[in-house]
Amino acid sequence: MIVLLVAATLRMAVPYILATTGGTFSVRVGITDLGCEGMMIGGAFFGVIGSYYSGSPWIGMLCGILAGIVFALLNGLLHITFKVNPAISGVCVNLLSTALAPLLLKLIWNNESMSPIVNNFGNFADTWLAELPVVGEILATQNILLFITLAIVLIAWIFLFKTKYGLRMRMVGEAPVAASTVGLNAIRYKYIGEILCGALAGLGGVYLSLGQLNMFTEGMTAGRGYICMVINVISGYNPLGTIAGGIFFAFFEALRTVIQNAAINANFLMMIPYIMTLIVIVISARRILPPAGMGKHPDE
Amino acid sequence: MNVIEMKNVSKSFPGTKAVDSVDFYLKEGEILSLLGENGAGKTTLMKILYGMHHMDSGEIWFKGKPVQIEKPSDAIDLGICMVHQHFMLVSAFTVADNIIAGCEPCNGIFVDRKQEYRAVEELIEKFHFGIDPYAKVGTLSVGEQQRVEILKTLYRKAEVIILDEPTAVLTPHEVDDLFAVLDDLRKSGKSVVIITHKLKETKAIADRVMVLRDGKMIRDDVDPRKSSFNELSDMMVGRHVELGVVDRTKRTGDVILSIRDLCLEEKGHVLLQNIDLDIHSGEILGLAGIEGNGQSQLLECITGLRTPQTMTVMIDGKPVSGGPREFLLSGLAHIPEDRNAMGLVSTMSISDNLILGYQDTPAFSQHGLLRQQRIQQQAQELREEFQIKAPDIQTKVGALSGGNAQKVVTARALSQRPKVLIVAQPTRGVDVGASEYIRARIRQLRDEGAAVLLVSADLDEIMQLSDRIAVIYEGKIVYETPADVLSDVELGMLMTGGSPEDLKGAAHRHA
Amino acid sequence: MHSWKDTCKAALKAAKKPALAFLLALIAGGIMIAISGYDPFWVYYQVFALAFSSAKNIASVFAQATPLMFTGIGYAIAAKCGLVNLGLEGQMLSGAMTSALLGAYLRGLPMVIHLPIAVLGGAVAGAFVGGLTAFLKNRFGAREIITTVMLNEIIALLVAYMCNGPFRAEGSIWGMTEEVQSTAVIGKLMDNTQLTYAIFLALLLGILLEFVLKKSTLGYKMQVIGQNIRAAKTAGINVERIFLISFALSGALAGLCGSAMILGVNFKFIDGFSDSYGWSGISVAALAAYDPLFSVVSAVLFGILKAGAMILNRTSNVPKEFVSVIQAFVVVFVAAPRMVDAITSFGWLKRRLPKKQADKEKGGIA
Repeated sequence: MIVLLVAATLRMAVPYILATTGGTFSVRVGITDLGCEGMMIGGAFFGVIGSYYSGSPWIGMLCGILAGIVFALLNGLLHITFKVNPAISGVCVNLLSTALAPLLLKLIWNNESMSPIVNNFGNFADTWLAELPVVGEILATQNILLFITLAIVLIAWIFLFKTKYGLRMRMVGEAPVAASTVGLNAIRYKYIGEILCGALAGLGGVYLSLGQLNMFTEGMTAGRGYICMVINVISGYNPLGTIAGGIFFAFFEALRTVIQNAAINANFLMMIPYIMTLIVIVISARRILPPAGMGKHPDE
Repeated sequence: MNVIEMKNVSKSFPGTKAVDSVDFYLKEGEILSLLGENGAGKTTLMKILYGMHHMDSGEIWFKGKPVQIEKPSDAIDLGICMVHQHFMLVSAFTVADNIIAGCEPCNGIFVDRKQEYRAVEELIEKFHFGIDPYAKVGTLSVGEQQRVEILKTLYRKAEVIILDEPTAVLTPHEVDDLFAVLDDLRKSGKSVVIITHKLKETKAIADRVMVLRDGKMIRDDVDPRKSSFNELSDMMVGRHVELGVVDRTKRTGDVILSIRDLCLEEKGHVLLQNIDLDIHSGEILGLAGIEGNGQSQLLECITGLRTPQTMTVMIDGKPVSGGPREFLLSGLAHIPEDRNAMGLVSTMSISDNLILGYQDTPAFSQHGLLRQQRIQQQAQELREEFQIKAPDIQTKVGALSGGNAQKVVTARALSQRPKVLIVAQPTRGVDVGASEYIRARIRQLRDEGAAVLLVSADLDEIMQLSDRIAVIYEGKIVYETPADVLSDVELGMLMTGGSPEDLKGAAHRHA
Repeated sequence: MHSWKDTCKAALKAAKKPALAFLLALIAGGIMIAISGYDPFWVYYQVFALAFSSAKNIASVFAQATPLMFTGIGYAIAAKCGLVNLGLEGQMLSGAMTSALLGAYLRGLPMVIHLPIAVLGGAVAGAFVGGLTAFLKNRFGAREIITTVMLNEIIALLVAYMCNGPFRAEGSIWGMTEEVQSTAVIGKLMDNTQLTYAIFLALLLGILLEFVLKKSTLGYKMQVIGQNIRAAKTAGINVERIFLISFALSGALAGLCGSAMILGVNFKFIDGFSDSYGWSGISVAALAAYDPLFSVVSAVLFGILKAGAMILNRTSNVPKEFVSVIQAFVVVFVAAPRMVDAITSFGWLKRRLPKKQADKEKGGIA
């Protein structure tokens, strides 16, 4: 039971962690990460497309990441280049992505709500990892993306806080005008942050369709992108914090799948983490502040 | 030898020619004062040199070779650095991070923290700046922040340093410190440009003066030691202006504005401490102080924008409390310190802006609906009275010049015949003509019997306009004196925490 | 002061940008239709022709437009004072559930009392959720982008729980509530259509809020806050109160959208009934430049597309999902006037490159 719960929690946590880490890059360069939802949908859908046509989940992953990047570029084009309010540009991405997926489902597979079954990332059930004592049972139901995710989080943290490019990105997010006066191309750094956000949110989407499942179903992101925006706040815009935040939400999601008996209504159960987080966000609203240059442009 | 030559440079913005066929040169090891009014094009010219604006036509030569400067990094690569009027610092970063960002000492792609702090500490030591490299910039004073900005240029091994209005926020004493630093720089062979409209400082430090007016170069080789204030001023403005008209009050009456026991604390810091102020009818009280000593908070408290721990305010003998609305309606008008951020809605018309704050008075509304006819009529009258230059009253305020925008704010405040006027930075970013007009209107209001509180970072303005001066330091009123008793140096000492007993000694030293 | 001619000119000038954006969205959608192997001209012609081909189809246009009017006006009224109400969906669901329960469980009341109570209940529920968002913003400084999104999720789960749990209609397989009483049903304007009297309520509210915005001190204050909140505070405008009013109004409109759908069309709360009415409201309001009355017009435009595509979908295999894509493109183009400028000037005025233009727009002399 506990093993099941831990294993399911890890599986549910990966997409949250990935997309939130992406969101961290976005916020750190001063752009609201509202578009994560749309980028995740793009990643989930095009991941399946890639796997469907190539037969390889790895190609699917690449397609998903690319789709995430394309939607991120749309957000960047609207907000960074054409100075649209970042909330509205995020909504644009989400609306477009939400509208495109069912249309393409209809056009490609003539199905209203789901794709056919495609090759996905296999789990570790038949590998030596499953033989390990204690953790073997948990690892048996995981797949390679779990380790990739943990590596990404660590690299993202080192990148942001230890390298010169991280310092520059954070400077652009805090004060874009100041960054451009010391000779940094603030626009370029904003785009890089946005692209990283799209790639990671896209990868998060890929995990939903090719890691947890083996197909795309309409509405499968179920607002996870929005939750990532929230996890980002409570993790203080720090990649390492996203692990804790992701696991918190994933735990309740896992609880819902593990406790199948209807003694507790699943919908009611899921409200708990949302309400708890809402309370945390509200109470800490004046303490956890996003970068000072949020939504600002380098030429103003 | 000329380090920099700019030849025949022009730059237009929609509606204005900001820089008009200007020739500019800078010699090695000199301090050049680029003198001109607000809007004369000084900053635009220097931003072109720094790669922040692109010129429409013209050439830039660096050390005898033509160069292309497309972006700030091109300028930095040549050794040209600029300290902007609004500091370009990240408050959440440390001093050292602010200095190195953009050209970091590195191990591969990793920032070499050891080297970073060593290099910054060495620089601070060398120029005796006395700043902690580990401190967050947000916690520094304005003077210290400026030193961080100068360190940024030195760290980049700048040969040409441009400073935009560097003394605007400094006390006389800090100005002396800055000038000592600039002198050091000059001695070490660096060339310095100071963008300024202040004549006194130009005379004090510059080797040569260039005068810009309306985007044109008027003179490029004025010797500051051989020119008088009036000559420089006439060149700058283009006509003869009576500088610093002094017209003290003739008659003061009862106390109109009385503030008692104003104490403000935030997060354990005492921002304002036991402030008592009385302003009489027919009197302008000037509040002198370095920015960041509690002036903004004081303004917020006595206009109702912020509720302090304790405060009693009486206007004309009646106690006032509550929010800005209550203060406004009890006869207190407010010209805020930052007109664009606090005083105006730039996307709205002049007539809409002229009722802001008074929209609920019976003059402008009835049963919750706006009385458009009256609003338009009063706007017409005020536009004519205050000579606001605009095509019509439907013009958006954002399209007005600084001087005309400030006239809109002033007209709104004065149109309500206030008993008390709180006015902050009334002439910041305003041209000389409009400045003198606005000052004259403030005096006129005083002569009609109002009590005026003037807050300004410009000590000269305080000394020119006030009938009485109070000095604020670290949230306390440390001294009160009638006008014309203390010199600017003496006021400056009080503003930086000197005690009144030191005044005599200071006077001696300066005599 | 202003002759009607000036007013017309101003209106035309104001309509130019949204019209251009709408056209570009149609072109973008048309390109997608073409890529999918259909003739875009034929599809668009069919959509518009079918939408007006019979009285019943016209009714269907307005029926599709009705919920969008409510949420469009709702988004606009919050946007006017600078608030981003992404919570319309949740506010709509709470209004819908409240109306469904009031309609089903209040018994023995005459229609003149029951219907208004059920409708008002929906508005109040929406206003409550909207007001809660404003309260959290005012009291704690919580950004509404985050709280509205959270509240959407919480309310979606709550109503799903309610219609699957305690309020589930007896014997139903899918989660839904009991059918509302006949005394709480909004009358049909035309038989065998989904067009109800609710459309008049939407129109009335559009006109009313337009009037409030343009002529009243409340509207003046809302606009000042939306354009410069610090100036509003300095001028003594009670920003928090206006935020509360505006968010509550916005939520009430969204709640009414839910009421209109439950009491006029579905007659019960069915789990997952919303066709993203809340999110569509953003498109509608954006096309209307966040103006309440224009929102009514732009809702009709979307109604034509939706109804036309649905009818076309019955007779051909052109997927109706195109409409949502076009709708999304509309927001993209409306939101980015500078992008529209860049696209249109690049097309037939090659010399005006967008970069130079942006450079000029920076303007002013520093």
